[in-house]
Amino acid sequence: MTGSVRALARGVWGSRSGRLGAVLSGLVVVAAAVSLVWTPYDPTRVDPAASWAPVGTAHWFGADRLGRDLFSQVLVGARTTLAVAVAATAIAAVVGVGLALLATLPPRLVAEGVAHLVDVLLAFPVLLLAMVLAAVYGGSRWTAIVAIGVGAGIGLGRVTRGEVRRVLGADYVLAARAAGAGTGRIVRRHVLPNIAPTVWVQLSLILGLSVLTEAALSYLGFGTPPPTPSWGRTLAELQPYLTLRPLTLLWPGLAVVLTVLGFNLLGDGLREAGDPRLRERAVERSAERAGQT
Amino acid sequence: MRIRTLAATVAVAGLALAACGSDGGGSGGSGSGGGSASTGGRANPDATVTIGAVLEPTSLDITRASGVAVGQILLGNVYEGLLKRDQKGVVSPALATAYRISPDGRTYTFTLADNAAFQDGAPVRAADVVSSLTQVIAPNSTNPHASDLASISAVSSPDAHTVVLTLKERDSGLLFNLTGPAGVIVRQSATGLDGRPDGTGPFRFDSWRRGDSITLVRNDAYRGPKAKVARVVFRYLTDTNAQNNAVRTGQVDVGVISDNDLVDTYRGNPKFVVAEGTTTDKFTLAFNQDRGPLADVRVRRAIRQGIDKDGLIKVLGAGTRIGSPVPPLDPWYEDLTNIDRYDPAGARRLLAQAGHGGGLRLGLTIPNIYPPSIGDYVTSQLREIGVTVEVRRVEFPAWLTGVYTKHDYDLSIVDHAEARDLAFYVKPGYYFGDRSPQARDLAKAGATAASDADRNTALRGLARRYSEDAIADWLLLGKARQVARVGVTGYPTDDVSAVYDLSKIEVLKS
Repeated sequence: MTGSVRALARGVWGSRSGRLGAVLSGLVVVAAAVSLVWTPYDPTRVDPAASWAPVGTAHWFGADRLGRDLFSQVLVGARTTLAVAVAATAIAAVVGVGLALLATLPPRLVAEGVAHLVDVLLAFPVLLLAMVLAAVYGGSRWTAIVAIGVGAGIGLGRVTRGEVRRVLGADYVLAARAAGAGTGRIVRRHVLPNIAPTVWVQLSLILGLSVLTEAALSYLGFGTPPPTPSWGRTLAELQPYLTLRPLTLLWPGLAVVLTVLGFNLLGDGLREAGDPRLRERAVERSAERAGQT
Repeated sequence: MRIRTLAATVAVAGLALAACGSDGGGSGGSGSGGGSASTGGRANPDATVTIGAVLEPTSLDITRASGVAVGQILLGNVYEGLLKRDQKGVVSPALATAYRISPDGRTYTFTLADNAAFQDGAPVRAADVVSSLTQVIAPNSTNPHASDLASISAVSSPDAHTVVLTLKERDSGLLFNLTGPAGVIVRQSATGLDGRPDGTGPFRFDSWRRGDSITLVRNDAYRGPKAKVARVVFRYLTDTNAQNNAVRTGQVDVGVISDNDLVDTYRGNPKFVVAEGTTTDKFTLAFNQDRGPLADVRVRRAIRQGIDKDGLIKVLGAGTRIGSPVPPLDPWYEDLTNIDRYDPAGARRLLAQAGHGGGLRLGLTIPNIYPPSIGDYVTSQLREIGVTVEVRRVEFPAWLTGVYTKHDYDLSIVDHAEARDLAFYVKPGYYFGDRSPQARDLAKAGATAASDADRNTALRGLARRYSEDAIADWLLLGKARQVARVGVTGYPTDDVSAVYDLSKIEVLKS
């Protein structure tokens, strides 16, 4: 297993998009980690003297109206975003794979019921689901995590169901069944390992989606509550000054864009690394390039 | 009454209409200053004026609806009382042409205007006045402002043009309160006022597109000077950017833009006029004295000393420091800003004396109609003195239920918008939880004072006691800002009376 993970990592690093995605995602992780031990300023500390301080050595990204340092806010915002995204993605993995299995394995009546339920639930956008939950339980980081996790998990379940069906129909599963393997064993030994590449790719995309949704929820006031810095909330607070102080919005906006881009490219890299056809094509392309030079 | 205060709070908190300034400070533009008087001659009597408003009323039945939003639209414009008040709070006759007060201060006799009429032409009779006021003071009254007239024991009409109010005791605030929503005169046995407001003012109600706009049209049969525009549309735009865009693109003629940075973009622009002024918006940090650490005056004083109000005003770009709930325009104003001045070291000492030297954790509940910056500022400042604040932003109805009614809170920030609301804080069950008998005595002395001087002395003392007892912290007195298209004049520039007088607005022909 460790070897296959290592091979996957090599595969990701071998593709251009995977490499860029890994670097960008890594940057977010580093920013979040650094913010645990150091920020230039307390990101929530107001300082009237620094109100709208410009970009400079004192404030690398400038300061907002309350004089809060924007660089510190972006650093800590990375932590907030990453925490929500990772937790939501974990929930999505459990919900998605669970639904996919339930919608495929016998008894048939339950499987068909779950499959139709997933189709119906798929019609609810994640953001809408999150807003409903926030309206009922109040906006918080946990509301965002659960809403994004469940919402994205339903989508993952829909995609993964096909994969599970494909694996269950394979000859080796038939052989395992003939040899007396129970459903649990088949799922553990055959289904999960074989759907893993698809799930990993989907989860990396869900990470990006989670970042975007968390930012959107915080922007709308349903996500991470104040005073915890969050990119979406920072954007919302600065939005009225879009035309007056565009640079202040650049930083949190850029952080969201680069993070989503990073996770999506990482997903592309994972897909390429896990798909033999794409891998062969990549090898052919690099051979062609090598031949040209 | 309780609801009234709070709903009013919301309304002006969101700068319900067009909070603006007594300074009448028009700036920018080509010189037609904000709210300035008519230049005459070139006015267009057929014009429609669109006013950008923030908070929409929930009902147009002024006898039942809470909040200043409905009053600002209808009071003085569609409905009138026996008396009216101007932007400075000065009281003058309206439906009554004259009034007389008995020497003991317990009998008020009003003479009604001969030619006052409702909008269908029916004359206003003394019976209408008696009916209107009797409904307000009735024991089962549903009027949210009923306590404004609680001192009245009986209303009678010896003849068709005279109304007599008999009081239980002298009430120095009665004339002022009669100018408010409690004092409006509606037709005897009037019904359906929510859908069809029917008053005696210079405007008639035309239509209400919920969530969008309310339209009033000129009442051409009005007995006094006619309104100078044919139609006024209040357009509701809650979002700052939407309001800003509407002003800039000419979708509204007058708009509320409270943000300092956005207002600055209009200064020097010849197409617009910026009008600024004072309000009665007292942004108040309420302390729940009924429970926990805030029952200790040392903790309350520490919190007051831990917040730099000048810094807050600086970052918000507007506002005035006040040391009590009395704005400078009130006759009993006294500068109390020296009480519990900003002193973080002193605040920490007070907390240590109160046994919280190791830190204190409190909740702060804020209605989400306010921008988060005020809460963020307070949270940051209190952290500096060792008070950790957990912020809860809630919908206003949730605030009303949780904080105002159930008193389930530690700290809360709300804009107390009503004018002359000192006495509210001693009412039994008020959400601050103040139980000071001295404060109640001073409030009573102010209400029943025989002269203005006595009233002012008592209320000055009451405000000082509030401040010294730290029943709350007054973060700032809001500043009103409107941006108007050049050529529109006469709009109110102060927001101190909860009335938005439309009768002097005019549009100059271009």
